[in-house]
Amino acid sequence: MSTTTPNPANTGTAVGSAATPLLQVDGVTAFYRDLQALFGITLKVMPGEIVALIGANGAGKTTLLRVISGVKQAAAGSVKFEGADVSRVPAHRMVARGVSHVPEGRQVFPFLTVRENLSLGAYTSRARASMKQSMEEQLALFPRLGERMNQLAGTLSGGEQQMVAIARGLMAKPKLLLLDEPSLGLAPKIVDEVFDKIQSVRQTGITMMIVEQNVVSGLSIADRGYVIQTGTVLLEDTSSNLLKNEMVRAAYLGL
Amino acid sequence: MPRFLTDFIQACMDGLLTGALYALIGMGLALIFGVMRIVNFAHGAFLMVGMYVSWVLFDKFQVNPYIGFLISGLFLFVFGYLVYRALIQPIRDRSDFMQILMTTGIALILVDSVQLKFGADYHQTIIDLTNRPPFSFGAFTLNRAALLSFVIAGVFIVGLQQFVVRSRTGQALRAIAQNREVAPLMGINVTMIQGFSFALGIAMAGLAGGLLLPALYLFPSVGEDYTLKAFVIVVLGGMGSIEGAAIGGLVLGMTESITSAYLGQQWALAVDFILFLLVLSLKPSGIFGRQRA
Repeated sequence: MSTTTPNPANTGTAVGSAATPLLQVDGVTAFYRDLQALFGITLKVMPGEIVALIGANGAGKTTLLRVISGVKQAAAGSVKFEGADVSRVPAHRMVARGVSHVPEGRQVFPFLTVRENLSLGAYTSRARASMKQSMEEQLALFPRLGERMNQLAGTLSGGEQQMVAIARGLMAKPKLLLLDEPSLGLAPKIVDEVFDKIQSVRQTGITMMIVEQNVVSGLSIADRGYVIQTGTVLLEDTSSNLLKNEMVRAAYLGL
Repeated sequence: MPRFLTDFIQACMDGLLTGALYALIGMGLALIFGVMRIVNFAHGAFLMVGMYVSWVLFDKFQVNPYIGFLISGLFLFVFGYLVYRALIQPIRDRSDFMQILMTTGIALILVDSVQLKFGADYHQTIIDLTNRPPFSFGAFTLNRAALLSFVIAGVFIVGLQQFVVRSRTGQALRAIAQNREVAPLMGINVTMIQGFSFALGIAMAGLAGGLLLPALYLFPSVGEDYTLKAFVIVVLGGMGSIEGAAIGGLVLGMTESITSAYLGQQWALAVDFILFLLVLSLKPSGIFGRQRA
């Protein structure tokens, strides 16, 4: 897979480099009551990059996204977005700052029409100003939604709902798009279609972080990847290196 | 027209007049339930406070209740918001049991506070309009005060429905009702919208209280029946559906009126609950279509 952005391969020492990361996560821990889900995660995302988080079910990938988007508070550590500490910023303010989180399992508003779902994506005043234009952009990207605009989102197929969820996330005009398991519960053919769309989103230059259990699909569209295991970063490398890595192939590809 | 038919139509029309106020009360409860998943057992007590506000204005300052109800609504909006911040917000994520205890407790405190301040005496609000002969056409007559409050309630019912469907806040409110986990990811400040919805729902009860004042004797526990009725209305219309609650209110008003006309007024409340049990056991999602809007 060709990449349009440079691959900062040796990430550990990039702090001194010229570009500031769009997102910097440092030593983040998180709990669900007494149960610890994250044990000090450190990672970063450079502007324009696509970063994949891969790992088994329950590794903490979703929790990490929730901490980044402000749905969940980190117990320790920090999250910096565009250089500013956003560890204590609640989710609704993170949207205004430019972080859009497309949650696991699609989670469209079932009794609202597709149009209403999309317009809720542009709820913040920043996104609302250009709502008409963003709506046209989304319909150009997802032409099938154009035919469904006045249908209740809950009546769409799983693949279509995923498109609504992604389009809704893009309506917020994000600088960083967090995609949680976009392939979850979709038929293989639809998964390919969804990843094609994500590929098109990348052409618009939006930075993305994708959580995927489908390791090949996830890594094939990403520049870099982090392998998360039991709440820690086990490995980080370029996608092509990770796909060649013996351990990744053994643990996640069954090769 | 045969007598039995005119009697029936008359009962239906009387029922619609009462039903519009029920609709207003039920919509307030449905709004709060939809956005917060809290059944507000203090709804009737807030309505009673609205009646007392309007009564004080009438008694002390000679404000006509058909103007005073607006002040009741406004007062209850502010009061509802304060109650939300102080008492409801801290327990909004707690168990249903906790929420029932809290709202029931609020109801008791409101009723007893009003009793301490104003006593347990009955008050009647007599205005010119209630004494005027009823408006009549053909074989039918309509109480003028009830007709006026029907028209006013209608304006607020349509206004609230349009607000929920069309405004940006209304959209946020429906988003929270349908998926509270995801609403913040749209940039919606859930805490703020919930506070607003609670206040608005309580304001609806306040408006209805003001409008009911000329039609009822006023005493501190006058609201109790209305909590139960509001609950019946919301179940009839489908839990959390605002449009459903509006229709549920009209249905309940007509059911009561027809019951009173044929069986006697003492049966009205009993029939309310028979209807309630029938709907709960036969069609728990409410008589009108889908589960929630």
